[in-house]
Amino acid sequence: MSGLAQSPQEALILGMVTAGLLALVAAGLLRSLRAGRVWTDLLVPTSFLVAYWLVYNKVPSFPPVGAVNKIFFVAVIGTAFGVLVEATGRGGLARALVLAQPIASAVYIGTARLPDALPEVAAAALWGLLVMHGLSGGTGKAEDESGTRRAILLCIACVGFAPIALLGASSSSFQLSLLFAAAIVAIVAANISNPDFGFRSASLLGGAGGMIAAAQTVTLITRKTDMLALAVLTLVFVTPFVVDPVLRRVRATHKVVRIAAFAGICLLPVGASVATVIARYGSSFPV
Amino acid sequence: MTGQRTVGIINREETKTMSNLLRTTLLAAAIAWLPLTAERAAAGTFDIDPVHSGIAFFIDHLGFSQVIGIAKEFSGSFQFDAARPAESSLEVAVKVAGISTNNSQRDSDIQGADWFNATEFPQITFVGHEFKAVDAKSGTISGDLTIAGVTKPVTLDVTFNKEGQNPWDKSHVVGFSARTSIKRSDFGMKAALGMIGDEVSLVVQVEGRARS
Repeated sequence: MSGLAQSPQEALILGMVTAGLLALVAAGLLRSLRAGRVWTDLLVPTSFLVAYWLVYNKVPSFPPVGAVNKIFFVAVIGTAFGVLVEATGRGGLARALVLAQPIASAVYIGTARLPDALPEVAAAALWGLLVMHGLSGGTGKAEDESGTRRAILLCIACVGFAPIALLGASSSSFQLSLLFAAAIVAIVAANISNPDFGFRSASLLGGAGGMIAAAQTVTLITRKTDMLALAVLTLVFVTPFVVDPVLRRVRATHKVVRIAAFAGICLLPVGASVATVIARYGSSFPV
Repeated sequence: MTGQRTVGIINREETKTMSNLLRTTLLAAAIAWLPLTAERAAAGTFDIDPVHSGIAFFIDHLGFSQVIGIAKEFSGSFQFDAARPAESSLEVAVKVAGISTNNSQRDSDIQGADWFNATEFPQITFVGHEFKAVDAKSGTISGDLTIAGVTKPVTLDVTFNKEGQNPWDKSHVVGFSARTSIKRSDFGMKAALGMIGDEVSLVVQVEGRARS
């Protein structure tokens, strides 16, 4: 994608537009076909893989060499497991896999640093676990709303992670975060009133799992992450647990209003994280 | 009985023939091997002298300039005999952490997973396995270059500079210059393609000191 652009900014915008349009077309097509949640659950992980391809200009060979290539297969394998576990209909197994995935991902990505950096790998696994817990457990009970909430939460978290990735010397992860976020915006826009939109195991294991693996790569392999900014950003995965009481208090009943309020509250820690980055690094962004 | 005796005679004759053949073969091999070992003894093993050797690379930046990078830490050795260059061997290892582009921010960035991925692949290696002389002063070395865990065949154009005694310490020294170009995308480094060049020119100066 960068080959078609005249500047890094153009490449980024072109990539975001492409990822967004592709996701919009796919989501619109599925909606027009009245595809069920099994199919719409594939939109987010597929968008992640498309974003990966747009950023890295490749489909890595298997077995993957290096952490960046492993990210792709974390997403692919996560998606496959997600589809399978949804097919079995066993909720307990799905929950177990969703929580095990970031641990396995941290070990897989951080293999080169084991056993010396065991505490760091463990911290990366724990962080991923918290992210998955926030995404899967704190997004409300309403079936027709929780998928949209999860997608919005993941999208906002990606936007918040982008500057951290850039500061962490990974312009590719920066682009990946923003391209994926653009695709999720398109998916949400196409499905905002779709009761059959699903953000289930495939989206969690493939889409969110892929993005967690990307963050773990920046943290464990490139090793230049601003931990304070990341800690502040991680609060975004806690806010869903406090959203419903707030929404009840303000008596928000309309779905769009509730989702907008959810997004607004999630933006608070992301804004704080970006402000932290700007306060700490000012104009020294390595663009 | 006659048949058995015939078989016995044939066996004895065959055994004698085989024995003569074996003796002749061994003798021929020994004679052939003598000059070979004598020449091999003249071939030396040289350690790359990092003080008088260098590895530099050049990569396009937005078409405006060629950013110059150098490898600060590298080591290696080679076997070389000017009379039999085809039998040479070469092994070089470059420490990724020691790569410098004269900017600390960029030097730190290129260590990351998008580029050299120093955490997982701390060394770049080149193992030369085919040496061809073009003329008395030049030739090629084909070998395997491994960067960020990806190995690709690369051919270096080599100029033989000089072999002789270092007047300062009397060590036996041989010097070469080498050039090649590679595509970073071949080694999985595809970050910022189109803005930062894909083709990377490599320039190598090697001074090797013979092991005593």
